[in-house]
Amino acid sequence: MRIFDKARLRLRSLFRRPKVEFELEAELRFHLDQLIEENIATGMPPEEARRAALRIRVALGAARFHVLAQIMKQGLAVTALGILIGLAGALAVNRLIASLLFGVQPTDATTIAWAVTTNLAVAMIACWMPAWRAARLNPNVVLREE
Amino acid sequence: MAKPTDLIQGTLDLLILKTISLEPKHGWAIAKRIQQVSQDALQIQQGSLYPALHRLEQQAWIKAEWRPTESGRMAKFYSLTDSGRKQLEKELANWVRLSTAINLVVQEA
Repeated sequence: MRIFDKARLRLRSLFRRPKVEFELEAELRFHLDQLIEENIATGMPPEEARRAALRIRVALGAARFHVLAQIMKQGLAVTALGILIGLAGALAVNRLIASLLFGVQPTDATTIAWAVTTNLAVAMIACWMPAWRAARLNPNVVLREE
Repeated sequence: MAKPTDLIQGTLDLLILKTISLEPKHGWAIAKRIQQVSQDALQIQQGSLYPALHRLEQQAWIKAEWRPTESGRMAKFYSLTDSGRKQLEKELANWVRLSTAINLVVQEA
């Protein structure tokens, strides 16, 4: 149930994120600036007040990186599984395609390495876009670190 | 000092709805107002405040509008919608009922 809800939210947020994120950033910046002002007004050294606000922003950045890494990991796990299955399949049926090949062995290591590398590269690029979008600020977790 | 987690579940919504019922306020002002009126007993952290505001907005109980503050800076002001006003009345009634009931139990001689 919760997983389903999360998936739905994440999917929806892929499309609706930009405006929400922009507003949230602005709202957050306003809040932190007010905090800095207040802290200075109550006698905190300006430098320290700014640092305290910065810490909150850094915490948010860390959360962002965490999401990004996790989504990339998921995507690459699926890709790795696909490559393994593909390799096993290729080795299993290489006798059948041997007659169709010219100038290359069905088990040619370089060719297989190139195929694997290309697959990985494409998968990484394909994962990066949605991962990057999903890793933007989530209004539901924003500022939880304080 | 009570942290948000010390608040009874759901009371933050009530506090926010009540606080913006008189006039629209931005997030910072809402937190400050609650702190001030409760004589510093309630300190609403941004980590609770903004998710709550977002949730209330999703429920269409409050609406947000970007407007300049007194200092001329743009800020997101929240105000009650009609359904928000009804919700406030409902939660207020709930709260009175609940707190009266708890008082009856804990003050029993």
